[in-house]
Amino acid sequence: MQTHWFYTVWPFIGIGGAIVMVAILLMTDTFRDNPTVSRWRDPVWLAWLAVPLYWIHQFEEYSLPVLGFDYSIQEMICKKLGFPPYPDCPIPLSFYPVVNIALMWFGAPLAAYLCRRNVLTGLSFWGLLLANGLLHTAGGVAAGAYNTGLWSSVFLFVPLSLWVLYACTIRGPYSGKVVGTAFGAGAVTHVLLFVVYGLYKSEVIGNAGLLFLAALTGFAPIILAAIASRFFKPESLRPVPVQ
Amino acid sequence: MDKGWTDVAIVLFPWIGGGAAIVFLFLLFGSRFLQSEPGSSRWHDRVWLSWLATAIYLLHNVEEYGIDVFGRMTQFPAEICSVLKLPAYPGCPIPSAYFLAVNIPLIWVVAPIAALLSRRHPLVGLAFYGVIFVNLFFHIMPLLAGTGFGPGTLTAIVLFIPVSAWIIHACFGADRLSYKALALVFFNGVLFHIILTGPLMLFINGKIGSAALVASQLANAALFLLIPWLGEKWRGGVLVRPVT
Repeated sequence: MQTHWFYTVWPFIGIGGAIVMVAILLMTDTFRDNPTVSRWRDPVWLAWLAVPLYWIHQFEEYSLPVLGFDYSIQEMICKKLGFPPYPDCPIPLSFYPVVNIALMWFGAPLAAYLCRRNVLTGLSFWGLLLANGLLHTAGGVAAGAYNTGLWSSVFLFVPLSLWVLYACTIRGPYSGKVVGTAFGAGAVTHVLLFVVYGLYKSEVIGNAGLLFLAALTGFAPIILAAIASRFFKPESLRPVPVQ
Repeated sequence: MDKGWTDVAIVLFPWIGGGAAIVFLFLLFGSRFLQSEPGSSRWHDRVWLSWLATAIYLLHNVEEYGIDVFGRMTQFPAEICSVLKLPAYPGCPIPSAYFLAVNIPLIWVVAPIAALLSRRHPLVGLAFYGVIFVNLFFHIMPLLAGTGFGPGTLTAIVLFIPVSAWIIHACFGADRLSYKALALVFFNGVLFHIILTGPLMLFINGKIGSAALVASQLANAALFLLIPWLGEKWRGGVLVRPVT
């Protein structure tokens, strides 16, 4: 199928960024809020960790056809929505980079940056990772077969999302309500994405609406977290030193 | 042209590097992380300048091997074949592995190592500018000679010229490193380009095979790091002593 060059290369830009980010996250204190405690218990560091993890996931999801493997997430999405395969699938190919780049090149780093002020916002993308990871895993188990994004979901998203829950609330200083709401904001974003698909499928929106909502969805975890934050005392949302 | 993973890799590697460059640029300009002295000007900080060299060369790679100003993809290898009067790809005999062997060891491995060592080894840290000085010449000369705007020329003009001029001003001269040190950096860049092109000529003329061609470039990257390191030790470190 004829595609724009950028639709092919963007996951590779992401994996390049992920390589540098992971190296810096694991080998330096740059993204840590409190270097005196383990980085694995530092919510600010954990918020930044979500960013390269999702870049790795996007690489797994979108690079396989380019690398010569017979897996295409675009085809899978069209099939799930009951559309014919490309080139007849009506979902514009620009939708995939728009939604992914808005979410993880702009939204997730912005959320991580805001984590020093608001843990609820900072951890919100982890809810997306958990929801996405569970969906890929459940899909793989149900089908008994690989789906694009399964490995990063099973080995990175699900275990590390559970770790974030454990480190931040079960054995951490934040209330279950705060962390649960953060994860909820991310999970609801995933639901919103399905709502967008539904609106498109039912022809309530067209291609322009799809692309606009895709870009907006990228910031949905932050928007939802900002709204939810109004229901918490500000001091309960600030990072606190972990003992 | 080789058929296989190297043909896929040559299309994709500049984008991976481009992604790394974006993160580096955020860290370079949005934080003090890549500076040796967080309180001082980053533009006078040799460690920061060493990392800057890595970032701008990764961007240069995007123009050379990713997409150029005319929207042509992976144009640099095609340009080299044209300059050497070889047939265009897929008929050009230069394997993709050669271009990967030139760029990945040098820019993905040697340049970050040099930047990491730059705190204690200023000449090693600035060594990558030797490649930039010489590479700049190869991109600008065809433009001045009127043969055209090749892949890499834009980043050479926009990034390499001002940064090279700044490096010479900020790092060499009175109270800084000597001009002999600058000469060594430049010589190292020239030598790198000689070893880059020499084996290629031997390969085109059938004197060596593609394995030897690729191996020569791996050795070239290692030698590129070794020379400034030895230069720092020369005559008790005279080259890295500040000029009074």
